[in-house]
Amino acid sequence: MAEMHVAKAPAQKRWKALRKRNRIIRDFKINKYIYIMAVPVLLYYLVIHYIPMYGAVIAFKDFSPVKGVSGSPWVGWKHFSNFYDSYYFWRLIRNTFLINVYQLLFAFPAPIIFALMLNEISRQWFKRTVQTVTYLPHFISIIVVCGMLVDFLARDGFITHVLVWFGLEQTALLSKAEYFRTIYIASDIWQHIGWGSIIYLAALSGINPELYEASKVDGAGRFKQVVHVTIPGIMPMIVILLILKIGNMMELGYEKIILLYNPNTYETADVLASFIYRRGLESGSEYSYTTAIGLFQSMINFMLLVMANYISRRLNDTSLW
Amino acid sequence: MFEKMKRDSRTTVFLWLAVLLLVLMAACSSSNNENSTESLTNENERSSGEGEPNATGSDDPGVPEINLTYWTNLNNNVASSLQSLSEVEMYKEMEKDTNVKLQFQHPPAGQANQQFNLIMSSRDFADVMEGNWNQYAGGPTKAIEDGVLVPLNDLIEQHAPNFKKVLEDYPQVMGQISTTNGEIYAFPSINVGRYRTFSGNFIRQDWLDELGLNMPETIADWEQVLQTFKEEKGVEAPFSTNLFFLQNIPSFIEAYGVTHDFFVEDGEVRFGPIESGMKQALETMNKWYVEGWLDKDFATNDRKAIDAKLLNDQAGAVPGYIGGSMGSYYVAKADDPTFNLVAAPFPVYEKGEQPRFVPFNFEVSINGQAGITTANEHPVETVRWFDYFYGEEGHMLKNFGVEGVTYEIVDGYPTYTDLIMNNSNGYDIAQSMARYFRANYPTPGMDDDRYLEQYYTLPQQQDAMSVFSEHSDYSRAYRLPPVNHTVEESSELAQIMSDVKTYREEMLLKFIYGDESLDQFDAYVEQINRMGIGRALEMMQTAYDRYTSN
Repeated sequence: MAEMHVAKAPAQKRWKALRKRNRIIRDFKINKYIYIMAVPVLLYYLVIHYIPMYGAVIAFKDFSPVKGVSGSPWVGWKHFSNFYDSYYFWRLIRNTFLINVYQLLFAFPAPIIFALMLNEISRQWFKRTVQTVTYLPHFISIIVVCGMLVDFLARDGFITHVLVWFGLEQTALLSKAEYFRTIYIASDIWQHIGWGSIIYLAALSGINPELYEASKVDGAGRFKQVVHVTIPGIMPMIVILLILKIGNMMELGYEKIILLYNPNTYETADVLASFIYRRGLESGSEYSYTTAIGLFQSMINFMLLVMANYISRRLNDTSLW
Repeated sequence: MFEKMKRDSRTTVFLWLAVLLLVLMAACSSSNNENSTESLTNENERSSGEGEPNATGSDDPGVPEINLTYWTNLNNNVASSLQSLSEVEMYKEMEKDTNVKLQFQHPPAGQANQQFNLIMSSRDFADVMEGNWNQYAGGPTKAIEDGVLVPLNDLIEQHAPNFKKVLEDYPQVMGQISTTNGEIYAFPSINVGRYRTFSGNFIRQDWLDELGLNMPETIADWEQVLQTFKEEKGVEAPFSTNLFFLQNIPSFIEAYGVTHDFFVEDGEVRFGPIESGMKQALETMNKWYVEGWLDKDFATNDRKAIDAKLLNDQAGAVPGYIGGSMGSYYVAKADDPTFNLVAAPFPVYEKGEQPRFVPFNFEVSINGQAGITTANEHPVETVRWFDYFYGEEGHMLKNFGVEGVTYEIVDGYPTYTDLIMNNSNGYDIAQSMARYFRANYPTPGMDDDRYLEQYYTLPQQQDAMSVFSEHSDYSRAYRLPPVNHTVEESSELAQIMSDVKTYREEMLLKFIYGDESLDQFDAYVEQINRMGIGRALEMMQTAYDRYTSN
């Protein structure tokens, strides 16, 4: 009996596998065109995101374009330890981290609060007008936004003039290191608040109206309704977006940084990405060194993402995986 | 059934890959289409053209044609009216007189460095590549070591009598165009004339006259002048500048005997930002900044901002170029007859001193260096072709064009015709020169003073030329010449200096702004020492000694 069982098991497994394979084939036959349609997407990820990863090996080599990726000599962790010993290491980490934390504290909740406020507006025409007006800045190219910022924040710029009324010293605001983060975050909120609120508005409309009625019956005012019905209703959305945000934490949009900073504001403005840009492309061609920094940044990102996901799963069962 | 399916899906994948490849190839080659077909035909002609080489002065129909590809950036003045250097009269003449046919390859405007690097990494060289070979990662020494450039010493010895003579007449040229191993890597643009300084500081002479002031010479004079400008004329930025000019055109910091970078004193290489002179200079700059004599926005100014301030009477003195700045200011102010901007001598600390640092062009320009690559199958003919420009006839062709067309000899002086000076098609002098010859931007060959004397048309410009050049020779001893580093040195140096330079830039600004007290100067020097400036100085000294022993 036992013998038979042993003999039977592999055959059964094989048969199961075969059936599974057949199912895939059948599925493929039925949905042939859908599969074909997926090919470009797969190729996109393969060609644009996976194949270039091979290039990351130059972080462990002394890369020279003439010798090529495979011909350049291995140097191990040299570039990583150089970076760690660099005078700028802690400053870069600090700046990258702080801008991100501030963004998380101020720029992340802004569209949520904005969406909640919009949600309370009952006049449809007013709501729509506000929405449209706040979407618009999102579609302005970053280079134009920065051009505007540079002009408005110059010594005789429009924003500077307004701030001077409030008692600020008249000066080129972008040449002051202490204002850089504020400018960066505030302009970010201005540009993306409307666009960012769309997804929350969508989530808001998905909340069952009966819940509001029930809470009204229980004697909840408008504020209580927001706290006990609306916010819990969009919580999963907030958490998912927060995790995604944390996953991208270290990789800031460096375009905006390099368009706004100058040596005078490096103190607060220089982040990992802008440092990589300067050392790798602008002045020196330190390809290996900057690749190492880039890789380092990606590792931190990855760790943050895993951590955020884990915490969130523990706390409220919402997670990416 | 399963097999077929598998094959099918594989075919689909291959199909998609093929489509993708096609798209990619189409995208890549659309810009290079012309070049690639051209180089194909070149290849054919080249193989048939391998016979008895004879590069110069041959009208013999039996001599085979030699085709060369020539990569270089297209100068703005040429690009404003022509598509390629092959349309420039000088090259048409050359083509008539020799059996060498050039096929020019020009990168799109503003992408020269990018394309240069791309060509280097793909090793798809043109036969001749002209540009700044110091920007090759690792320098010219590495370019030869990597098998990009051909060392030219033997070829010049045998086939370039004119260039050999130049090297004998001006021995200092040799050190500027050879690698650390003494190999000549390019045919350079050489200026051995009287005028080597084309930039400096300009001041409103009409304001000086109005306020009864003398032309400032010392730091104290300048303080008085800028203060008066501020108080009497009410200008916002008496002296306007920006970071680039502050580092590249000597002004006040240099009056204290230091620069922003390496310089030489008594045969010893020094780094200006850590010298004690810098501390004194920064004290003064800080004072000027606080008083508002120095443009408060200099850290964020671009060149347009400076131009605007000067042209709107908000600045009384600015740094700039004789041609590019001064010339354009007079054009913009054409309707203001009182506007009189003149060159100010380079400031010194005490009266009677000579300025140590004058923006001085060494014999060899860093741009316009034509290297012969390993892809070139006709190095001998190419060397002969270039050598022509270092001889009398080629020199005239390069600097003045064709006699009777672009210039006439008047009393033994080659004088540009109206075709150049007053072009009826509306081209300005720089543009019309560029249409016919290559005098006004770095080009393999020798520059000619007589071109400059006619190029700067305003009396103020000619005056500026002599004011700025007055101390060029004195300052030569203090300038670090264009030294070359070995491959190892150059990568170590790059690593140290990119840290140091960022730090220097930030700290100098903080000291000038007063964000950091000058009591911290020693700590700042200490930090630069920790970054390895000692080692960098050592390497610079080695390179300098190598240069001087040449």
